[in-house]
Amino acid sequence: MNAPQRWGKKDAALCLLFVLAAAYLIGRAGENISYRWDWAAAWGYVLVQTEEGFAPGLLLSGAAASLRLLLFAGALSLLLGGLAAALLMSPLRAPAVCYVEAMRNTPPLVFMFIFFYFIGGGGWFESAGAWLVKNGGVLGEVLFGPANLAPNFLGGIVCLAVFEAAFFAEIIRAGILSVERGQWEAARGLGFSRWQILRLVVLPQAVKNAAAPLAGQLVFLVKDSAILSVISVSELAFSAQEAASSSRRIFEVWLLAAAFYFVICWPLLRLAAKLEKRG
Amino acid sequence: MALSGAAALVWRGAASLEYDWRWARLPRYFFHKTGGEWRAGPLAEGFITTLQISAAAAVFTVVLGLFFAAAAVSRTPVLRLLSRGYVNLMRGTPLLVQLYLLYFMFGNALAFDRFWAGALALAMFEGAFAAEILRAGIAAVPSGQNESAAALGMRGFHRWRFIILPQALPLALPPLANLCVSLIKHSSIVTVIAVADLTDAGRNLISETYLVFEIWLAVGALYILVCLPPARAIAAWERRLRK
Repeated sequence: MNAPQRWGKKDAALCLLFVLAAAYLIGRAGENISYRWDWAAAWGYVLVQTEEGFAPGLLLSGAAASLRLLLFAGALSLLLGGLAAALLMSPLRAPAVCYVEAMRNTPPLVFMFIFFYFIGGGGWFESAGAWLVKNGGVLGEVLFGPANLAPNFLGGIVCLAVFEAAFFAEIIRAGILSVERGQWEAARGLGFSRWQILRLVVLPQAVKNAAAPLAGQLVFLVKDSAILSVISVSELAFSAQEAASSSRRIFEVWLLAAAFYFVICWPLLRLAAKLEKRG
Repeated sequence: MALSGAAALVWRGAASLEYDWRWARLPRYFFHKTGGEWRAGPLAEGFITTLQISAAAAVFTVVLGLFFAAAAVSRTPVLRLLSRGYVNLMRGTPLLVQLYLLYFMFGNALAFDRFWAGALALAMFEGAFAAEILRAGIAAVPSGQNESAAALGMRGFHRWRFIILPQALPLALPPLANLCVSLIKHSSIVTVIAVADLTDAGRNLISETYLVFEIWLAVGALYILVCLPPARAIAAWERRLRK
């Protein structure tokens, strides 16, 4: 449908209406509990002023942890997703289908609880975390955050990756299936081996087809990572909870947390939209 | 290989706790007999709450989706801007954070109880996806349809009611149905504001009974049981439509 770009009186009236509605809502928000907005205190959770200058506050280090989660869990789930996609298209597909369908139809929250009780009980992440503390040094801290939080953080990475990999697997499989059969046949006719066909002919086209939904799924990964806060993985939502309960600046802290999440997700959303247009 | 690895992990996790399986104690939390009468246990009650909150949220989701989809193709720039801003904000922030914001900021002021705050937060989150689905459906209706209806003298509302929506909705129905199914799944997040849904019932029961694995597995299986068959049916429906 065509839509002209002109602004008119109606727009001005609507703008006014929205601003008034927003002002009313925000005014009402603090009314019953006589909330006093204090942004200055809330910013203290983004940057802390110390004697040497500024240090990252709870929220900023939380955002860094969320970015690390995106990086590691994203890479791991891409890897696991690729494996699961390969299984889905092999004769051994039954277990892979069970895995994918189980993940896609369980709430992330429930999965995370199950994961933490079952696999967290084995002490794997404690020993991995202890190893990291001993041998990681500065690099370990840059990559995996503070050492005392490392066991939970490592568990969070694996948990998120196992969950999201099912979605990645479906996307990768669809990408491979979207390559026409003729491509396989032509390549076979030219004498390529099966592995060569996959590597040189099919995968480059599949990657192109799957790139946009993969970027979109990364946004979901970031958003689902917020749920990890419920099982005490120290990331942005967890830090926000801590900051909100210790400072009682609930509105400001959660608004800032939402803004940080948006800053992380927005480039990925743009990337997904751009890739979709190109494809 | 990966699977046997996962099985080994699970087995070791459970074995290292020396877990004592007591499946026989599970059924009473679904239904139990008191005074010769069958009653719903906490898990059954939580399950019903989950279905209720999902149904309430689904209605709001469709309403919000229709509104923002219509706004997205509106001739009024402010409405288009509003729609784009809403969709981006909802897609770019986690449901958990939206839920906290809505509940803490407006729960008190607008007199939402937990249930409605949860339903509304869910609907606002999914509404953005519904808006995108419906917008795609509307965009697929050739613009000539709208123009000829206008040329025949139909007014805006009538064009929507009789020309655009009847053609846009069939295209949008399968993904919308999918969205409603995933709503059931996403509704488990309302447990963080203590709505007594299935996940919450499971959590409370575990802290009372210590049947950690039995209850979590049952809760997970129940979610799969309600989500998987409709999801599969919708996938088959979509395949048939595409042919």
